[in-house]
Amino acid sequence: MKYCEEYAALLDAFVDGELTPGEADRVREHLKACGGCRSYVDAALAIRDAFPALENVDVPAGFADGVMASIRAETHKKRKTPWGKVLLPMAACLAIVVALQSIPVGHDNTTADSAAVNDRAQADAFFYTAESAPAEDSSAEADSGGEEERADVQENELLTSSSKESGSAGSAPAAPRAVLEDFAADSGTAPADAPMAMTSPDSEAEPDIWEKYGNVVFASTVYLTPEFVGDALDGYAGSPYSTDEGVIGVGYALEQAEFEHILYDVLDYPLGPMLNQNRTTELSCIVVTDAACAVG
Amino acid sequence: MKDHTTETQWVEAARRGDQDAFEQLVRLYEKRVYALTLRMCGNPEDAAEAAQEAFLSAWQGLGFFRQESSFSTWLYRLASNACVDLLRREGRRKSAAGPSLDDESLGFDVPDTAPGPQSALERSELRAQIEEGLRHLTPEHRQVLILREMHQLSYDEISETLEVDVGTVKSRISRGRKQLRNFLLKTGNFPAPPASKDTAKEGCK
Repeated sequence: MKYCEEYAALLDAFVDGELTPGEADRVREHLKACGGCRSYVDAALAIRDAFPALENVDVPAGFADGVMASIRAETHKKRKTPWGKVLLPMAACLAIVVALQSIPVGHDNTTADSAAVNDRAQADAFFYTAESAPAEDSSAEADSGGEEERADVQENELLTSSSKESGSAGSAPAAPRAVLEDFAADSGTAPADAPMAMTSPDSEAEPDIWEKYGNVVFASTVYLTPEFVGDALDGYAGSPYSTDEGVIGVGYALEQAEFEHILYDVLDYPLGPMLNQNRTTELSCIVVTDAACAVG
Repeated sequence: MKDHTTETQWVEAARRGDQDAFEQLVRLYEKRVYALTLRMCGNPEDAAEAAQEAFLSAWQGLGFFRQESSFSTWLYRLASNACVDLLRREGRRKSAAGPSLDDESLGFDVPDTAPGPQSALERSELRAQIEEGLRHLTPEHRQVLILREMHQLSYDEISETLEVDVGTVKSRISRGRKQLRNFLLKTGNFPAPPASKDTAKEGCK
């Protein structure tokens, strides 16, 4: 049973004791009559009841000592926390390993187009690692944009190639299809929503096309009808978004903040998608399509 | 919670570089900070890293701490930020490692049949599901829920902690909670409970 739209905004504040007495009375009256809202409030309270509590947390032994040791060591040799120093090189090493792994393997199961895209991604990925290691061969198509944004793009493409390879070279070739890009918006148990390709998420030169069943997983994706979207995305650059069926609409890749702003603040979308745990980019995608109901 | 004046004195002393005073603060807050980072990060290693990062930032930033907000608010903010930073880095690392860690959750088999009355579920089981659900929220939605439900901060306090306005806190809590509820409903671990009579009473607490 669904809660009432008009009370939806009040129910959480009610549960959290953030309403004025007058508002709280109003909600309380309403709850007597409305099973949907009552069920929502009950759920919220059940979540609170079972929510992990502070008492259940065991701080790792010696935690405070470790913190103080770092601080004292720092005062001695002006060194800051080791984490930053440890993690960055580690990430860089990982990036190199991933890029190297992704290079020599062949492509199965891909269309000529996305294979070509993949090749380019590898070239870019390889180019990217050249920042931390001398580039043995930053192949032909890796154009050197130079701007910082470009580096981000390359990083995305780096991830692109890695996830592609881990999917196609592994023992479970179907794996990429089992990945839900957005299970909050999925239509049931079937893994209908598979990751889409992001051929070139460059915000300045918008990509050629977003491909479903490609090799980049958006942080989240929603499918909306043109009627629902109205003019909310006017001024944003979108690209054709295609599935097996061909082009079904237009995909707008957005930063998370922008994505949420449009969904919630502009469109008043009731319930946002959740982040895909396997995302390979922090960008999210709004797909404007007449087939929104069928896909979403 | 310890005596407030003692805490203020420790903060003051720590600002002047007194490491022992700062150590008192670390011991006083380690549980609350670690609890926050653990739920935010979802695993003990990252949580410890983020918590340590928060305390080190606190130590380094004490000179800038003007006591306009409480020390705890400020510390939670540092911890929260450390988590979000770490999650962003971690997200990339994890992605680079390919799909593996969360594969079970991605299969997302939704038992449509009613899994039995909620009362039959162990509370700890529901707790585990909540933890799982929290991992699927955006860091922004997750942090407000944790600060609200676990640290029991008011909307105003959360707003101060995260430096976002109260309206944003309100909508994030609402969306986060709805998503969490939906997650629990969809995974079948949280059947829509029949309305209980004492809802209204409990709700106004």
